[in-house]
Amino acid sequence: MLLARTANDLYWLGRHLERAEGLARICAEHTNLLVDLPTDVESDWTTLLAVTGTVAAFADRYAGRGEADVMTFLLADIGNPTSLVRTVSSARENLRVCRQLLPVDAWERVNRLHLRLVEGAGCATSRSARLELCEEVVEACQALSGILETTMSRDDVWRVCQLGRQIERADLTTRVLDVRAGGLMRTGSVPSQPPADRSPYEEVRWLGVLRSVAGQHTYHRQHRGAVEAARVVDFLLGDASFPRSVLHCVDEMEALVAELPVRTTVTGACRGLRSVLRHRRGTAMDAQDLHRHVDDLQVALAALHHVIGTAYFEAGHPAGAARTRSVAR
Amino acid sequence: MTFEGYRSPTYDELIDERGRPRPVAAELVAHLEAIGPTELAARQAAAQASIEAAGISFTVYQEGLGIDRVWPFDVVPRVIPRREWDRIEVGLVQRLTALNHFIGDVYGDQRIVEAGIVPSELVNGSRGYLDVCEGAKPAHGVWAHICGSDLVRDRDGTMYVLEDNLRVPSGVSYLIENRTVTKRVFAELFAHQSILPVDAYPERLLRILASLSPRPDPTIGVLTPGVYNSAYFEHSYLARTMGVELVEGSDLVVEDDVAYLRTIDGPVRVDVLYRRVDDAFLDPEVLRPDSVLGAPGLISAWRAGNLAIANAPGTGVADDKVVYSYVPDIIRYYLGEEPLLPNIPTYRCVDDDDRRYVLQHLPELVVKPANESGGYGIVVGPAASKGELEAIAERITAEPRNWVAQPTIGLSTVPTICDEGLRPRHVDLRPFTLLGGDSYVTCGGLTRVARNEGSLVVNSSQGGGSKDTWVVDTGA
Repeated sequence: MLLARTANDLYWLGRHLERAEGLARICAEHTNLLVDLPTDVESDWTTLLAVTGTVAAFADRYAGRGEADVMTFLLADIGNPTSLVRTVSSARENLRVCRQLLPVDAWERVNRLHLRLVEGAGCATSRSARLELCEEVVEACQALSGILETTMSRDDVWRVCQLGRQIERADLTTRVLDVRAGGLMRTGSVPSQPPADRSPYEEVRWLGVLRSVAGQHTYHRQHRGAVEAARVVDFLLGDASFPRSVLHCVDEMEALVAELPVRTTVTGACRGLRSVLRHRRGTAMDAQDLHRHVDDLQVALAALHHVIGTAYFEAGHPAGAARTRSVAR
Repeated sequence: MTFEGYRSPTYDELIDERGRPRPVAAELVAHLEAIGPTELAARQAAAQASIEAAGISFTVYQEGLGIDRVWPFDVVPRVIPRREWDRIEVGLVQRLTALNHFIGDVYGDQRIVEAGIVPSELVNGSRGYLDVCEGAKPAHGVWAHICGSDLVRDRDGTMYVLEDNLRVPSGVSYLIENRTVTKRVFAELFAHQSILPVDAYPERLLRILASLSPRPDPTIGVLTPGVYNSAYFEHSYLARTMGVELVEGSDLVVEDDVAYLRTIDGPVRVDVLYRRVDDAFLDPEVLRPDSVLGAPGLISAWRAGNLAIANAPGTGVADDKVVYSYVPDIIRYYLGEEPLLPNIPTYRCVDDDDRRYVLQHLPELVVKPANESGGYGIVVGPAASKGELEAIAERITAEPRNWVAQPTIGLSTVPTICDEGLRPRHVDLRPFTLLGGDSYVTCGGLTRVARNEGSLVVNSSQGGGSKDTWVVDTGA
């Protein structure tokens, strides 16, 4: 049995944990990227704001656009509800509601991470301290995934939490694609350039895109040799075996939904998402086309998120006919 | 020289009046001496860190990141000999049994009033009396299934019952968690002596709750006011350790006198609620109409016998300081036994002679409101200013039924880690007693400790701390 109210917090716990890990990854990756780029190549920190969808919120709070401001805003700013410290804090508040359903260690992990961030997120401006912090966050999130993966029953508690993780993961991958990959492409139907014509740093940047979603290694195992734009896009959208590709997330979500109480709105929204993913518009290497495609995917993800809320978390209202069901414990 | 020069102004639980360890505490004191003050301070820090990491907390209202405060804990335990505890256990069950007879009688024929043991206005005019409970017949005849009594030890070593908390007493999760932490910090001591375990409580509570269900294979929930309640940690802890649902008012819906939980699968019938919501907030249809913490129809589902509620509504009628003063008579009347645990002598201000005495002796008495909990509204005579005493005298004269007074009890001490080393600090003790199909008492209880020298205030909401409590079997 899973209370509708608690399910809502489980779902958001999944989303917030995934978001925290993703945010730590892209911040670490962007910081690392600088090391590989020559000092005269301008590094635009505001792309991180675009990825996280916080360009306007940032402009409201900061005058500058530099590294220190952007990093403080994204990692340590308590006034920014999507900052890393606030995301982990939100995960902890979600966990507070569903703590009784999860392994004891899960609470300890998130609690410790929360305490660590409250105390140490202020060091976001120093690059080395920042990298260390982001690595710690990724590690803590991975450890937590391990705890959940190896100790939880595969019941509705597990499924709802995973549903949150997968939808957040798909969302993050599409955002990274849109902003980071899109930024490397040209607009208009220009075919992929032969490697020799590319800027020497383009490959480094494409590697950065892959690293943002921990996909570098897997990509190399599948596609030996130079990193090619079209392949990266295909890989992140449609590789069935890579756990952070949009397709893989959709597969996972459909499998989870299939075992949750049957709700036609949710299965319908999953199907809708899959169909958008399958029917890509335009050419693979056009920024405008990619942007439109990502937009469509995000609309479909938002629709799925919405129906999950109405189908499960608002279930069992007094308006619904009371159904007696004996529950074996 | 951890204990050198240690002297308590009253009875100390570990060290006797000549500065020697009591026999039951000999091992512990020797160990503390052996590790020395620096190591002890390190273990205290380790304990506090592990409490913080585990998120053992109580809630306070606070802006910003998180709403909880770390549970305050002192690693030096309080020790009780098993032989003494065995007697206390029997006394606690006796008391709770008699009080349950009393509650059932109050909402039934009121034989005890007819017999002239307690005055009619005591129960019928009580704030805790609920009309909706009249004639109800809960399972096993038990109304108060969970009781968290407060015990205090006076200068001469006598253990008194200070309060019977029959409504929604809290603290049991901290009692169990304190032990977990102590085992980490003093692991070696557990190997050498027989310290009775405390972790059976959730399983025993679950058994009691299941025994109240109108149906086999019951669905059980802990009803919490929510994450902002000061005891939310405990509600969550008990739901987890019993493997039952943690429920809020908004999760409940009642149709045709049957209560359901709103689940992702639709409504699921619920059979037993261990409610941690006060009577007044349980059911806006019958009680406070503005409450969102309970659910409309809960009381009628309970009256119809479709839902068990623990503690049952209306138990507050026996959790009143004036009723407290009658408990020895209540035990004699229903059980035909002498009380095993003494009451603190209590003056009822509603009684003319008592009131006259109280008003003349205010500076030496503790004056308490009849119907409050958590230490609120208490005036400690010896510590009160002239103005406070005058104010309380006026209030007593205006509403005598609302006030009782007791002689100041010493409250024993336990050595407690302070900046200057180990110092005596006053403690009380809250064991938890369960009653349903059978009965159970926790081994020891939650020891609460006042933080400041001479202070008698042990409530965590008012800055008190806590200690682990060892019931030690010395074989003697």
